Amino acid sequence: MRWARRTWAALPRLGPPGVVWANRSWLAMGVAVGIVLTILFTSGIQPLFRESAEWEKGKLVVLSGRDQSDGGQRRALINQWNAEHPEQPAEIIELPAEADGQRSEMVARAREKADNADVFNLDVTWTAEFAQSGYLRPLSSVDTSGFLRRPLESCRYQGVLWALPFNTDAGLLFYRKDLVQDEPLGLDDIADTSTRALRAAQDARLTAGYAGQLLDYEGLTVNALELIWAEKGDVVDESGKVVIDSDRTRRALRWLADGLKGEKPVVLPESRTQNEQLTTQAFRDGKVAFMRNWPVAHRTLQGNRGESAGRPAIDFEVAQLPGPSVLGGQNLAISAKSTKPRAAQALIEFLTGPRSQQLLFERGGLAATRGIVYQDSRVATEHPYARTLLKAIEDARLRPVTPYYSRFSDEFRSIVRYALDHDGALPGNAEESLTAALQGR
Amino acid sequence: MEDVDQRRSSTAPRYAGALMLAAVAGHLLSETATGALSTWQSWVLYGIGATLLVLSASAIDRLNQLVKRIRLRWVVFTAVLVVAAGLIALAAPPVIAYGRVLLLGCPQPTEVRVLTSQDALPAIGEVARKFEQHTAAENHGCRTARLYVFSAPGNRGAIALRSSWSSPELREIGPHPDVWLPDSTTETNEVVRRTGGIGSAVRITPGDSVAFSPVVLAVPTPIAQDVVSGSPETWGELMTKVGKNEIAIGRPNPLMAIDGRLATVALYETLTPAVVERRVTETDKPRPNAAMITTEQVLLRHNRTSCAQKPCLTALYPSDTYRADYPLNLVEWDAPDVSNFAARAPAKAFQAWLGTQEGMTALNAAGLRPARQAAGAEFREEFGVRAGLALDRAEAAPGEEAQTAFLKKYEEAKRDGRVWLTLDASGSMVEPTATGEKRFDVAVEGVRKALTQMGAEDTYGLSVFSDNEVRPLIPLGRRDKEAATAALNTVRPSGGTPLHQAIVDSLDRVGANDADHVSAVIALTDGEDTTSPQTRQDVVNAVRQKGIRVFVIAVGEASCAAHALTAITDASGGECRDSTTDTLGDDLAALFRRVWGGAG
Repeated sequence: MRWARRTWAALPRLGPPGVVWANRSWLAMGVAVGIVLTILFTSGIQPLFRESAEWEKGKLVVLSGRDQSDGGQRRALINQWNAEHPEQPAEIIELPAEADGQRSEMVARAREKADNADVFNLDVTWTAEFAQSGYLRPLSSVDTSGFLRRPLESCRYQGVLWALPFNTDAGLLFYRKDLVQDEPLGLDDIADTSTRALRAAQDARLTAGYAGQLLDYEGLTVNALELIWAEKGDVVDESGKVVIDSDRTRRALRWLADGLKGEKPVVLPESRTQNEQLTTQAFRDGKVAFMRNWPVAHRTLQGNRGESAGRPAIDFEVAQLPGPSVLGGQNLAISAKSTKPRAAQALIEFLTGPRSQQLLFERGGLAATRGIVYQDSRVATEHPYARTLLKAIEDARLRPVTPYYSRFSDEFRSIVRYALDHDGALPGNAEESLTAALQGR
Repeated sequence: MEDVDQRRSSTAPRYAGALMLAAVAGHLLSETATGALSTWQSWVLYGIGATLLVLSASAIDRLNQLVKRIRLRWVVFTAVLVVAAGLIALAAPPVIAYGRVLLLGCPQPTEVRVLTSQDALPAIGEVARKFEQHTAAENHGCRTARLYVFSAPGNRGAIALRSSWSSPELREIGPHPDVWLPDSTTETNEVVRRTGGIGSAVRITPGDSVAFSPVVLAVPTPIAQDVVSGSPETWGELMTKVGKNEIAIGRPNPLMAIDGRLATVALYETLTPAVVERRVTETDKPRPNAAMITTEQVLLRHNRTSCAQKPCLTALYPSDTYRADYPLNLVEWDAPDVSNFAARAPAKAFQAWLGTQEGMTALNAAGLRPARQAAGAEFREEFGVRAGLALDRAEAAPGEEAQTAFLKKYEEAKRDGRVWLTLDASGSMVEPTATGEKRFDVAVEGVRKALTQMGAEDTYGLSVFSDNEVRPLIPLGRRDKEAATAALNTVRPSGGTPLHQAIVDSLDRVGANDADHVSAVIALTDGEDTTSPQTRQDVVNAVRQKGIRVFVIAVGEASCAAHALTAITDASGGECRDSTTDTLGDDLAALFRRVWGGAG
């Protein structure tokens, strides 16, 4: 306490000489000015340097593929956002329906200097490429609880969260109830049941057992991966190493190559020229007993049943694929150049929120990325496949995560096509070419 | 003096070292802040670089001792510095690039968007893949460009460029192109003229033809063997000869497809236009047991890929034929948000590469003929084509005046359109769209818009279908545009979808093609058939038997592919189009324009 007393005693000497009490008032004034300055600094100047929590004003531009939900539900959600937030109106710039075309336009715009987009709606396989190229702004302080694990995983790259899952998807096995008694457990089971049904010749329309998408596009990558996984084989392991050269992988490819052959083939030979829609058509025409497809086929097959005047439709059921499915879907990410990152983040949190997800699934048929939506009774009656789909999504796997995914997919498809033409044998340089493709070569 | 020097020599390197450490620290901070150092590999690279830099500080000390023994040391020092800087400037970028590739993988290639025609898409796609591989060869195995090749039907690409690629075009056709590779130079000229003005957002630099493909008459091989003779024959002569075999001769719409137009121009020179128009049927892809006017490369590809017994089709080369000449035009966008500036260099590189030996070989392998290289091994009889050509004409296409004159002649000669339109009035048509309107109302509005496309001699009839009946509203032969809207407004949609029944009924009502009329049926549906007694096969048979073109527009739950509607439209050279309630009006208008033959 001595220092305090000494200071107090010294105080009169601190002011202009001679005026003792005035010195004290000078001090008081100094203190007062100090307090005022401190208040000014903390409330007026400091906030200028601290990041504001308020949303930036102005238009939010969303780059997205064409809205393929039933009845334009995405646009309905954006309209709702615009009504609630007139100062941050969102506008969707619709890109072509084809995924490669979307990617092409998004990449070109992302490379521009101009701030031309705030939000990207990315296919699950593009997260790595966009993140590595620096086109995205990492998300911080986002509540990710409530999202399904797999879709959320597809939003991360190298431990950083780059996006939020907008809608998800997983392949399902459709089968005809009149020809198939039990849910098939494996590829051999599918082959056996198909052969039996074909021999019994119950249905004259039946020409093969199983149909998938084997046309040379992303569908072939997806179908081949799933068949390999069903045989417990793999192409790229968890650590990113190429492990395609294994007996199990060969067995899966042989199953496919052999299945395509013969008078009464297990795999529909036309599959090699079919995409999702053509496979759906083959199934509804009664040509096959099993079909691998996305849940959207369920709606196509069910569609118009309400209007039907009692004509027999294909009686079918859906089950999980014999192995894990490939995870599909799209994620919403913020452009690195966006000048409105907080408003953009609010928008993507709105679009991926429980209420939006419920609407998108229930009315639009886009599979929700939040588990709670699947427990809703209206969703379950609207989409009877919801339970099976949820399980399929939980078991689904991501396609190899690499910034050069499209290179990988191209290379993998050429290997699969070779295998289909050579009884399931792999080309000699399969491993090297895939490893190079994973590095973008 | 000696002392001072001593001190200087010992402190200078220390300062230099400290300066370099400070520079490294500063740079490190800025790099981390911008997120450039995001992987462990980049940290290793950075560490190596920084160590080298700091080590060089101690090397300076030694150098300092050395330098003092040299006369004119500042001059020498400066010279050494300049040379070293030059060397580093030259060697560093490739060394750094290679190091990055080794440690971090390839940099992402630049995206180049290539717009071409539907006919040329497969060939140009193949050539583009080869160009990508070529860029990898000189860049440590990393591709520097990725070419996204896409196409637009008919002349929609040219129209989209003329209107500066508006947002519906971005959605319906594809991304903004950086390269435009149409079938013919004649398509380029008009677009270049229209977009050349001040204020246009797009600049098109017309380029030279990269290769050509003659327009040929593709005929089924057995018939070709009867027809073909040793002497050169004109379009008119070949057409007359093939016509004697009683097979259909398909021709792409001359207003939309360049091969159809070029062949028709030549045909009009030797035959009466009206005779030509009564002899051809409209088609845009090869069909079994029918001849077709197309380009040689389309025929070659058809024989190579989708033909069981080779060759399915044989090319007849009229001596007076024109050719598709595939010019490569560079497209530059001025709007700052879509300019894709980075693509300009690789687009030019692609153009230059197509002129090299490697590029021409790639074009040749894809079935095109580069002007400066002889036809390759692909051009053999097994695929229905000939390697050697003897063409009379020097120019690839007729001049502009000749084309204008041709269009006038075509307008007079073509048969009048007779269209039967049948609309889905099932229960699902009352479902609201995103904007809140009913689907049926959107369709009625679309019909109203489409009817404005009616030409002076064209006619139409109209029916609606629901439950299990087809209700005719307007008899065939009407030209009153308002009647349709008025009649449709009285319809209350409900019940099922007898689509098959409606199509068969429309076929009966519209009647077959005759000397003065071309008939077509347009059906608009939002679901698959539910209540018809006829199966899909019944409809296909009826369509094939009558030979009337059927067009289907599928909206809502309906899907061309998933509901096999294409099976019906393909039976007659029609088309099924998946539409949305947004684009319904435009799609209907485009179809009517096509069947009535109005200007594209």
